[in-house]
Amino acid sequence: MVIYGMGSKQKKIWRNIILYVLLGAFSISTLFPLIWMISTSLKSGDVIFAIPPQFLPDGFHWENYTRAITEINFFVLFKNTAVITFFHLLSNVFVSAFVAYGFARFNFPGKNIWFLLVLSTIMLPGEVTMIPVFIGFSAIGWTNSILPLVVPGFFGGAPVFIFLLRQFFLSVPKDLEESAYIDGASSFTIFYKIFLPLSVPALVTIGIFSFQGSWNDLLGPLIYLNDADKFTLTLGLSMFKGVMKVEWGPLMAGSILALLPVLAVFFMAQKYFVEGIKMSGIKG
Amino acid sequence: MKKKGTARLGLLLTLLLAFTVVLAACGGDTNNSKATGNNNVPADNAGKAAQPVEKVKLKVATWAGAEELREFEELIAKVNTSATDYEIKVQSIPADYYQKLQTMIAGKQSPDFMWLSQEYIAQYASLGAIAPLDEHLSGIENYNAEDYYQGTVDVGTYANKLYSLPWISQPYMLYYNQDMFEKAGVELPTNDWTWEEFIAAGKQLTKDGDWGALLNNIPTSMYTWSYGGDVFDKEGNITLDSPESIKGLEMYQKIVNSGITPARAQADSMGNGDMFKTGKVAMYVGGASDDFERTANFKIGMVVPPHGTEQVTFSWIGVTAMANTTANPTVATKALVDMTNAIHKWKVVAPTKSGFDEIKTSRPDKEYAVETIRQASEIARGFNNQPKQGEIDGAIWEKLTQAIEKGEDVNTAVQSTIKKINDITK
Repeated sequence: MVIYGMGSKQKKIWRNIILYVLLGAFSISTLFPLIWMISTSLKSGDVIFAIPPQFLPDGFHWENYTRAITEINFFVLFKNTAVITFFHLLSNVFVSAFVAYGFARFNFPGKNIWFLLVLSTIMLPGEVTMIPVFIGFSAIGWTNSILPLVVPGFFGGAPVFIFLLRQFFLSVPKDLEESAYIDGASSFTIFYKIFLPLSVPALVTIGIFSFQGSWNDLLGPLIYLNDADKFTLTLGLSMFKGVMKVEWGPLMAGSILALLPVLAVFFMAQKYFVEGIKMSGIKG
Repeated sequence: MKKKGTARLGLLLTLLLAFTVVLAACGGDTNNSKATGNNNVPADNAGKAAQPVEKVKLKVATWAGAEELREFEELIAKVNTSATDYEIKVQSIPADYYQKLQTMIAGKQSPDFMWLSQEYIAQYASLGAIAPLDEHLSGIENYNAEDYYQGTVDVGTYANKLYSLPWISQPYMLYYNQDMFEKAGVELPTNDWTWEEFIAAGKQLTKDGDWGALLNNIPTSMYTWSYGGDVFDKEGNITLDSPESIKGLEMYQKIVNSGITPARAQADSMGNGDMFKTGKVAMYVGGASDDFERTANFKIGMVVPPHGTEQVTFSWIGVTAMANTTANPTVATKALVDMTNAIHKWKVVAPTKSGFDEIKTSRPDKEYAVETIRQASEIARGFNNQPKQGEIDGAIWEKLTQAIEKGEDVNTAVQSTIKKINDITK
């Protein structure tokens, strides 16, 4: 109806208007839960489930934030989460890269079988191995500590990341390492002087996934940590979700505070993140 | 270059070693927790045997959330202050409570006490995870067996042994919107209402888009109890096909067919309690401590749920059980009694006859209904729980409740449910 009889410039304008309206609508629908979360974090308990729903808060109830910080010992839990995430990330990124380098560049007996074995562990749901692994860690006295959450990563990294990085490393031209060998470089030197710098986007992508996975992990800390002062943020936030009553205000306030580092990391590494997905998508 | 690379490799390995040492230090207290959580025998740094004068260390696992957890910790601190031979520590499990608990039990790291919902007692007892208490309770002065309502003790009993002490019992009550009754000119419910009277009133109240009643909280077995039947008898035999049980289930179908209740899916999507709170339904069955008096803006009344040939109501019962692995069961049982008695002064509704006065102070909004709640507590009960109660509940929901609500033949649904239960329990 509008398109007929219009010049190409007008058509373009209309197309853009429709496009922006559609994109705007999708953006709002995507952002709505986040905005609702922020709004709920400032509401009083009476208004959260008012019928009909009330979008705007009834004043700024900052006490939800105070409660989120004081009632679950937020900063201690933040520190615990940061420590676990740091070691988890370190092991996932560097040990996975190390193992992937081995699979990509060395020939050893049964290489493909070993690789298949590593891949097969991806298919194994964590719930299946949870109790036997817990019994194992319990036998060596590691429960109620962060050891079961961080040490295993240093003995092989994470299978998914090994797979991704192996595919990435396979695409690195052999000429580079051959000339390095001629110059007298060792395999390890080639790994950290050639492969790691070339794989920064892939490593950052893995780092972000690993960070997000560890920061938001509930089951691991839940199973292995017993004392409240060793809990992580996800466990702390769960405390607001009682069997009989959910404290939505403090829960949302605490969730926003816990979300901030994840958002910060994402925005800081966004460039690499998009690039990494693009590259690994093409190469893999 | 090669030399330099080797040096860096060495540096990396050294860092890894240092890191492992740091981590080992982080986990340094695991031995202590193992001693308290598993053996319950305090050991000194040199690993020598504990002195007899030392208090027995005990752990209680709870699903309590932030505010509730703090109150519970304060309560435990008071119990510890007056205790001479034990010290209880609270272990918070804020999410996936039973998953964590079962993992700990499997790993022989079970807490000494654990909060349980009634349907887990038979399962944990049959697996040997929790200990019978009868032998140890006999010598404890402040344990008053007579004070407990029979229904709350029955759910903690498995194979004729008592496995837990109840700390809360929420009998289901019939709440009603007095304004809606008065507007429709319908007589208010009473404590001895029959299901027929209930349906008749519901029909008068179902009009103009409003509903007479919402009963989704009632477990299907409660209808069988109402006519003297049950799913299982106390010995664990299936009695779902007894004439009494069938009569109760037929009454359930009659209520559904009378059209006084909204469809389950509709009520679930709108929020069951919210439908009552917002004046969309005139009668609602919920727990005695539900907070409608505080949140609804109409006049609320509460009576004992309607009856058939028997007056009975379901109760949500929370208990504390003692782990079979606790090192000193005699002292632990004493601690369990002290702790449970203290909880009765905190939680509403207490499962004891003496606990009722607490309602008036901790929940003044319920004061008007104390006598009604007392009456309901006397007739309140839980399920005759079986070791595979969770799966059995699933079978009842799938084969019985849904079939009855769809209008299928009650006898056929019962036979199909029994077949499924037999498959589960064989």
